[in-house]
Formats: sequence, structure tokens, C-alpha cells
Amino acid sequence: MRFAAILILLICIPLLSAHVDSFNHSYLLKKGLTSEHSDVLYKAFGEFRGFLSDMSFLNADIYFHGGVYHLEEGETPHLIVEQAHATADMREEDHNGHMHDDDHEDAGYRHSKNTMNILLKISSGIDITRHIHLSGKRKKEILPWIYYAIRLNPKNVQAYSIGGFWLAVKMKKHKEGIELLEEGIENNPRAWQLYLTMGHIYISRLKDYEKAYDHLTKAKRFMGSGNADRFDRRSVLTFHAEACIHLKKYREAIDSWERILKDFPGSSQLRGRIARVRSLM
Amino acid sequence: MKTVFLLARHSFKELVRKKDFYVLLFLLIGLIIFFYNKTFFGTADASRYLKDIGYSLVMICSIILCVTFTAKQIPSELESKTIYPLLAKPVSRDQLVWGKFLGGLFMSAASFTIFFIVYLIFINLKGEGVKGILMFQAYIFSLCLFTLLSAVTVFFSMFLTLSANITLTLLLFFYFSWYNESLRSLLLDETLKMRLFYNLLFYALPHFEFFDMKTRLAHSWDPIPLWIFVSVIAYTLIYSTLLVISSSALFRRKNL
Amino acid sequence: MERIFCIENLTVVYDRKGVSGDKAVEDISLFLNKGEIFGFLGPNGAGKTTTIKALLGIITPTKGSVSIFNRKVSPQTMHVVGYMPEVANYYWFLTPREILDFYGNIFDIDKNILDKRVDELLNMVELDRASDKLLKTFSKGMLQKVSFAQALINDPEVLILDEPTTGLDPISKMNMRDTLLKLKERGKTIFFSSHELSEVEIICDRVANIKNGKILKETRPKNILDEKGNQISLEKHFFELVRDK
Repeated sequence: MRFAAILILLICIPLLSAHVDSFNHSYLLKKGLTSEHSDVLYKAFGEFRGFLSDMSFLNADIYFHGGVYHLEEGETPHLIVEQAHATADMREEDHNGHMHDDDHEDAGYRHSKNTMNILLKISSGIDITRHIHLSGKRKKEILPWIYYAIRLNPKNVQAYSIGGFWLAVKMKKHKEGIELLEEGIENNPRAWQLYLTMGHIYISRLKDYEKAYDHLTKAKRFMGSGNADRFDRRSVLTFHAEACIHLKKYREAIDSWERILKDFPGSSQLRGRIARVRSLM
Repeated sequence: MKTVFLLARHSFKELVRKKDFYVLLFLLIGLIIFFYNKTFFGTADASRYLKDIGYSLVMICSIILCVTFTAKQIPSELESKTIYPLLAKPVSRDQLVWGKFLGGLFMSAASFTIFFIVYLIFINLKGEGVKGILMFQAYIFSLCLFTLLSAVTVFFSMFLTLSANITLTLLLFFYFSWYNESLRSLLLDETLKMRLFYNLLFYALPHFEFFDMKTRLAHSWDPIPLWIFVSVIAYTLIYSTLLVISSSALFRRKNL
Repeated sequence: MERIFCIENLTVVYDRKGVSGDKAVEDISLFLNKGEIFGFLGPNGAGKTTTIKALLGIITPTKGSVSIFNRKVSPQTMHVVGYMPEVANYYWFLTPREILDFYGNIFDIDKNILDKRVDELLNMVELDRASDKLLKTFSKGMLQKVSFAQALINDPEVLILDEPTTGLDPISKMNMRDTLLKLKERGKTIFFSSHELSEVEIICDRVANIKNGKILKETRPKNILDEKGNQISLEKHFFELVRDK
């Protein structure tokens, strides 16, 4: 029985440590210590907490699908895809790709019904074969796992980014989203993804173009040294340009668009916009 | 039958008088309350994580109690020699094996019921709650799981040491919980040469994954279709009976 | 005289994997008449407990046969048998009252009769004050008393006791001897193994000596003493017998 109690505590201690760490974080922050110094438990558990943080993030993705799906090797978690689509088009409901408005059967499970093995039939029958995305009031269900992902690993930029996006854009909890991203930036000052998400929120939700400009300028500065691909660059530069337009910083806007054109030379729509803005200068 | 139930009831008393159950119960209550009270980014009523984690905790506690308790039943009788005055009474070896199996099952069912009640109280106080039919199916399937686990553990106790028995049973359980998909994929592979062998293996191994209701419960999915519900119960009864009969046969040959 | 049990050419070989086993008991023949007290003597490892286990059907004889009341030994024949094991280990989480209840229920004894009998037995073995204490708190002697009480729970026709006085203080030993003699007067038949030659001398009608799994001699204590002209005690006779063989 000691074994049972130890096993349960071993499973729960990393999750519980997230709460202790949360207390540590706010308490020591008030004392003027950086999060790196305050993260004693992270140092104690090391890479294992990092692993659990990743698992928590994946769990958030699974929860997004109602607890049912398997991520294929090399496939991007769908929460990330969802955010990418939203930032790409600046309107979260206006995108293609993975979104499903209704349930559907995953083809992968269908063929298991064609078997004479009765136990296999039972096993397949127990599987949940429908595939949904959380919507409405149920969107909040991924939050606990985002919380654990960031508490277990304050360097989990992805979790901060998704968490901030989810709170501010999906759940319209702007204040909480911003606070989360600010914390993420404090722990990861060179994370361009977090500045991008901040910029996205200030532009699309809060219409505060000054703050959006500040954050997106930083995103632009840091993405060069980060792992941004051309689509990420396009997102940053597009938002940056939009903020600039609202602030009448036309030269900077054109500069951002021209940088996009280097990655996407065929974009005639963008060339048209550059020409129109030039005419305003 | 009366003797078998007497032996089972007797095992149940052991649970009540040992501290193990109470330790796990208080640990469980403490952890569930802890997770229940947690808010995330100003949201207090996210509940699926509580249903998920809570159910996992309930099942871990119950499974560990079931396996460790049942695995000790016959070996401890042999070790402490309490089996001799027992077999010198009108008790056959078959009745002893069935009595120990049912004792392990009743003990697991009773402790799980209490854990489950605690769990249900908390998950129905927060967020979206759980449909009644799902609760019922989860409860019955869990009882089926403990029936199978008790049978497997009693069977292994006929020829394995206590620690080997507990380890192997738990390994089998976790394998089927996490990797059952790989065995299924193997069977569905049309190029498979040893199809008959793998099919036989599939039938021989205990399918603990049938009883996993965590996803349905946590994410408020539809209940299990009736034909599958009944089939799983039938599978449990048939498989467990065969295992316990085999255990009796082995025990009859055992030199005491 | 009615024969209570009969052991004929009993041989028990314990199997050791891949190696021909040890003969724990070889070609033993014994019988017990109704109303007798039979003493089974032998040094440690002689085969006494093995013989008793074979008698109770706990182990299967390799050769030979065992019968109780002319019936093959089975769980059904155990209704008339009371057994007191050599090692008095019982379930630590039960009280004496509960263990007697448990065993009594196995015999399907009526509840009122069982309750009364449990009280009487606890009184007899002087455990009435400790009847509701857990067995894990009991000393060796107290457990031995519980062991004796549980052997009598079904009011058996034949009692089989394996070293019944081990761990008992002198007064308790004397009480047990008196109890056995009273049971004999009530027509019970008693078979017991012992190292206590003095008590065998006092109460046994017949005695068998066993060594290395074989019966050395079976006789009456009275005959030994008469043979040697009262110049030899049973103890001395036992030592001579065991040493010679």
C-alpha cells in the first residue's frame, strides 16, 4: 500500500508542484527576483517537467477534439494550426483547412468494422469514431492543460502563445489573455510568437494600435534569430503593417510588405496595396 | 455456494480492518478537493480535467487495491499456514479458490464504489456534470474490470510469486490500456502471415481496454451501444470463469 | 470395536523438480478405534505432520489409502473431524469469537447453537475476556488455545491434534489433558502427535513411534511399563527405540 500511495504521489507531485511554483513565482516576483531564480522546482525536476509540460500541451490539443484523436508523426497539434489560420487571415472564423463545423467519422476506424473477430468488433465498437472541435462554452475545457503546460515549463512558448490566443480571441477574456502573454514574455523575452499574439490581440480585439505596434516591432526584431518560417514571417509583417497603417507610419508598412514579397513574390494583392499606400504618402 | 460466499465475506473483513483502503480514500479525497478548487485564468467551471484526472485517480487506487489484495489471498494462506485448518473443514480446494476470487472482487467493488461516490459528488458539483447513463455504464464496466483483474491475479498466484504476480498483472493492464491499438493494427494487416496465431493470441489475452470509460465520461460522449455493453459483460463473465476454473485445476494439483 | 479411521500402506513422496523426491512417509499402516486416545510420537522431521495431513486429505498420498468411517477422505468427511494444526496461525484481523463463528458457519451450524457453543469454548480455554480482541495481539499460548477451541467448534467425533500442548503453560497443559480425558468419556476419539512423553504416558491408550517416515513400534504404554517391570519410563523406552533404529 505504501507502493500505491507513492505511485499516486509521484504522478501528482509534478502537477502539484505547478501550484507551488505558481505561488513561488508571484511571491518571489514581488521580491524582485526573476523567474529563473524563482523556479526552484523546475530545476529540481529538470527535463521531466519539460516532458510533462509537452504532454499537458498535447492533452490540451486532445481536449480540443473532445478527448479523441491521435496525432500522426510529424503532424502539428491542431491548436497551433487553428491559431495559425486565425493569424493568417486575421479573422478566426474565416479560414480553410482543418476546421469542421460538424462531426464526422474518421476513416481510420471504419475498416475495423469489417472483421469476423468478435472481440475486434467489440473493441472497435467501443471506440469513439466521431471527431469534433470544442465550441461555445466548452472552449474553456482546454485551459487547465494550458495552465499546467506553462506552469510545468515556463519556457513553453507554444503554450503561452496558444493560451493567450485562446483566452483573448476564442473566449474573449482579453485581460486574462494579455496577462498570460505578459508573463510569457517575462519568462521568454525573445519569443517572437508571444509578441505576435499580443499584436494580434491588440489589433483585432482591443483596437489599440500603439501597443500592437510596439509588440509587433519586437516580434519583427526577434523573429530573425528565432525559428520563424516564411508563413510566420508573413503573419508578423502583415500585422505590423496593419498597425503601421493605422498609426500612419506608411514607410514602415511598405517596408513590411516588401519583406513579405521577398517570400511570396507572386502576391499581386500585396503589390496593389503598396501602390495605394504610396499614393497616400 | 454458501461456503464460497463465507470465504468471500471473510476476505472482505480484512479490507475493513486494514489501513490501506482508508489511506487511499483520504489521499483520493484530498487530491480531488485540491483539483476541484483550482481555477484557471479566472475560469472556475472547467470540469473535464477534473472528470479526467479524478476518474484516473479512482481507477488507479481501486486497481492497486484489487491487484495487491487479491494477489496475496492464497499465498498468504499458504505462508501463514492458515490454509491447513481451513482445508481440514468441509472446504474443497475449488471452493477455496472461488472464495478467494470472489473475496478479491467484493473487496475491489466495495472500495471502488466508495471512491466512485466521492468522485461523482465532486464532478456533479462543477461544470457540465455527467449523464446518468454514462455513470451507470462506467460503474458496471469498472466492476467488470475488477472481475477480470481478480481472475487474472488469482490465476497468476497459482504459479508466480507475489511480486511477480502483481508486476505482471499491472503490466498487462497498462499494456492493454495504452497499446491495444498496436495489437489491433497487427490483426487488420492483410499481409499478415501468422493471422491465425495472432487471432488466438488476441482471444487469449485479457482485454482490459474494453472497460475504459474515461474519455466518454470526461468528454460527455454518447453512452456505449447496448449490444456492446452486454457483450463486454458476457466476455467478462466467460473469461473470468474460465480463468478461475483453470486456477482451481492448478490448485488441486498443488503440493501443500 | 468400531474403526474410526484406517491408514493402509501410506507412502508420501514430496516432489522436488527434476529430482526423485524425499519419502516423507513410507508404508505406514495405522488404525484408530472409537473412544481411543492414540499418541503419535517421533523426533522432528519423522513424518508425523505429513501423516496427519494425508489423513485430512490436505495432501494426496503417493501410495496407499486413507479412510475415515470407512469412507474415502473428502471435504464431506471433515464434518465429523476436528483438527488442531501444529502451528497456531490464524487471521490476525479477526477476534477469537469471529474466527470460531467463521469456522462454525462453514459447518453450517445453527446460529443459536453456534453462539452458545462459541461462548462455552471460549470459557473452556479461558479466553472469554479476550474474546473480542484481535488475534494479532495474542501470545503463542493464547493462539494455541484458540486453535484448540476451533478444533472443537463442530463437536467432532474424532479429534486430530498436532502437538497440542506446544506453547502452553503447565496449568493450561493440565487443563487440556483433563479436557481430552473428558472428551474420551463422552465417546470422542482422539489422535494426537506430541513430544510431551509425560502426557502421552498419562492419557494415551495406544502409542506409535515413527522415525524417518516409518513406524518403529505400536503398542500400549501400559504394556511397555509392564514389560520392563516398571523399571523404565516411557521416555527412556522412546530414547532406546529411536536410538536403535
